[in-house]
Amino acid sequence: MRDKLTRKAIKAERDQKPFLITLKNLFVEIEDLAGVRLIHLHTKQMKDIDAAVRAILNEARYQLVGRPTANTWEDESRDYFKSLGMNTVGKDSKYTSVHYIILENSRTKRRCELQIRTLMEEVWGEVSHTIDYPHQTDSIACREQLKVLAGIANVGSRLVDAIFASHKDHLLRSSDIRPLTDDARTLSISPLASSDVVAVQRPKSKRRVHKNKVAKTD
Amino acid sequence: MSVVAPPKYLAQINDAIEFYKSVQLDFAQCAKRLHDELTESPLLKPFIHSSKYRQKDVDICAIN
Repeated sequence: MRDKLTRKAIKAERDQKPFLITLKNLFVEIEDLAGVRLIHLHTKQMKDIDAAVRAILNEARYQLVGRPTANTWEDESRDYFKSLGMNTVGKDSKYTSVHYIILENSRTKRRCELQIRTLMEEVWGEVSHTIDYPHQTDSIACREQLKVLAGIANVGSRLVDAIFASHKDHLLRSSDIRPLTDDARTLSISPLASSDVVAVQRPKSKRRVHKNKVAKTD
Repeated sequence: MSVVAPPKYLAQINDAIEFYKSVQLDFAQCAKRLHDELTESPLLKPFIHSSKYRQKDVDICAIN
């Protein structure tokens, strides 16, 4: 807190502007005195997470201050967050995280910053926070390595996105594909040799009709 | 590395910190309430790997 106010005072003096933080506006000007962080696995979950966060806040009568801000430096992520109606900001530090400013559901409207980021982004965030925040490290090597780590975290998040997309696709396909031998068993006919056919795709509706038929017979 | 405030703003900064100290616990409770509200909701639970909450400390920065 002292450090943050000091940096704001130094910036005000450097920019030849007045340092305007007073006891009246302290809790408006400093929005992260209370903070919550949620970690999730992959970027594309953000659409569902955003909807869930809004629904929960609405139900509990919390208020959002402005639109959420996605800190991102990569073009594809920027487009994705924009498509969710979020502001996007690029940080030189390569910091990535989605921030919501939330007004408390009480008479005293305290502000709380909600940060949402992926597990990969959390790795970069924790390393960077330890050695490069709030004051940038003097080590050029460390700064460069942090940039490399940001790239790796970004690629990691993309890979996790791809793995989950592939997994979802696999589940969808495998729910429609049954080995012929299984079908043959259900239909009470002799199964073909496994070398004859590998798999058969069949609409689900046919299967339902068959099941009904069996039930009536029984 | 620590930074030193311009002397003319030192009193203003000290006043702000003293004021914050008097309500720091309220901010901690505010963070905990919001954290619990979010993480205990069945809407959000399936997506959350882990979570944290805290208020900003007086002398160090708590969360980016």
